[in-house]
Amino acid sequence: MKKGFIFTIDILLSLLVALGFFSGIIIFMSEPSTPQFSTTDLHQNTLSALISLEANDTLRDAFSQNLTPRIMEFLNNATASNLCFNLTFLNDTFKIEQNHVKANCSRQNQIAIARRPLYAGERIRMVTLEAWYK
Amino acid sequence: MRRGILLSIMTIFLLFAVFLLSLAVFQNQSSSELRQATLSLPTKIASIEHFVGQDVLWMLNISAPDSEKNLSASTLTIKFANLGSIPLQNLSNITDQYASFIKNNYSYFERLNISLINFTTNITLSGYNATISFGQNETVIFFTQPELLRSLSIMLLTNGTKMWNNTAPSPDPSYQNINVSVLNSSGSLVFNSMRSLSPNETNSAFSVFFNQSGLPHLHVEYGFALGQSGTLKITTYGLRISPQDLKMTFSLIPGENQIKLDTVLSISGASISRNDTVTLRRV
Repeated sequence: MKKGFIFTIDILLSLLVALGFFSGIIIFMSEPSTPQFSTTDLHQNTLSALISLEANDTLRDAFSQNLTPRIMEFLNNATASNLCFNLTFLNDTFKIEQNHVKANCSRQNQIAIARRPLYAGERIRMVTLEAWYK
Repeated sequence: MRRGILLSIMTIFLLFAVFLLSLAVFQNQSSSELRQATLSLPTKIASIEHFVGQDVLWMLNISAPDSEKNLSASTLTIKFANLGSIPLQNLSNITDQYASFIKNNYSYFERLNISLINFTTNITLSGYNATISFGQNETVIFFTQPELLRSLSIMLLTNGTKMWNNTAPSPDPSYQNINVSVLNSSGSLVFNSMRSLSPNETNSAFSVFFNQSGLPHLHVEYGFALGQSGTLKITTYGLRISPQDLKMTFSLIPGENQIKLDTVLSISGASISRNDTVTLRRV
């Protein structure tokens, strides 16, 4: 075994490791800086969905009428397919009156919550909408 | 000698790679923080403002205001399809409860100090200085700059059945057109009158009587009333009225204005402190 052979392999291997490392960084830097599933975007989506539910006074009237079909239609068909939602209506003592979960959704750990006070039926209540990525 | 150069190049190469990695991680982190700071908080404040505004409209049973600019005629028309009812249920109790709920409960959940300062249900059109005030037995619109008002029309849906008599003020052709129409409980038009009226004079009222005894009846006055020029006052005696299709047409003034509540929404905490009036619509 010649002296120069060991040094050549040694440097060659180092060069390969360094190139791999460098390529990895270049790939990492070329990806978008914000994650695809941003928690900020999730919160924005939750808020937008909650505001959209006010259309036709759905939120207000849900306390006095059975609007489950309208709410489920919205959650299942009018929201992004990669998002899950859990809509909860609380009474003035914060007890759950109604709960609607989007179809084919199971609870995940990372959720965004949007809450709104709600004047309905001459009482002040609260509605919460939780959202998470499928 | 050659080995030393190669090792030096390798070291510089690796250090440069580490530098690039650090830079990428730093940029990613600061970009994420910037998104949180620039998007999340204003959106949250805007949403709270929206929720309060919508709830007040629901309390009063008022539809969201609509507006239409006519640039060729240089006019702005503000429309309310539904303007609640007269007499009004006692609102002070519910507004107190609502303000308390926002301050104590909603603030807790949102981890912010949120309160409503001088919470009233008055609605103001800024720039044009027109304010709608909802009282127990009357709804009043104050036009502080009545010269900006070109015309106003309103339809009053009542629970009266058969009209007995009506009166209308004497016209004064040089001023604003005020149009009042009244429908009975079956939706039939029982009164319709349009008059040009001075905002600075005490004009007689548009009055509709549903019984010879005088009660029930309604009055709509425009002019100098309640100590102020340019006041439109709708009053009812023994009748239930639902004012609908309110249209107020103004001479267009430049710039953006707001239809807003005369209530200040105060939000503080999380290194912010904001005091804003609750905007219902920008016009």
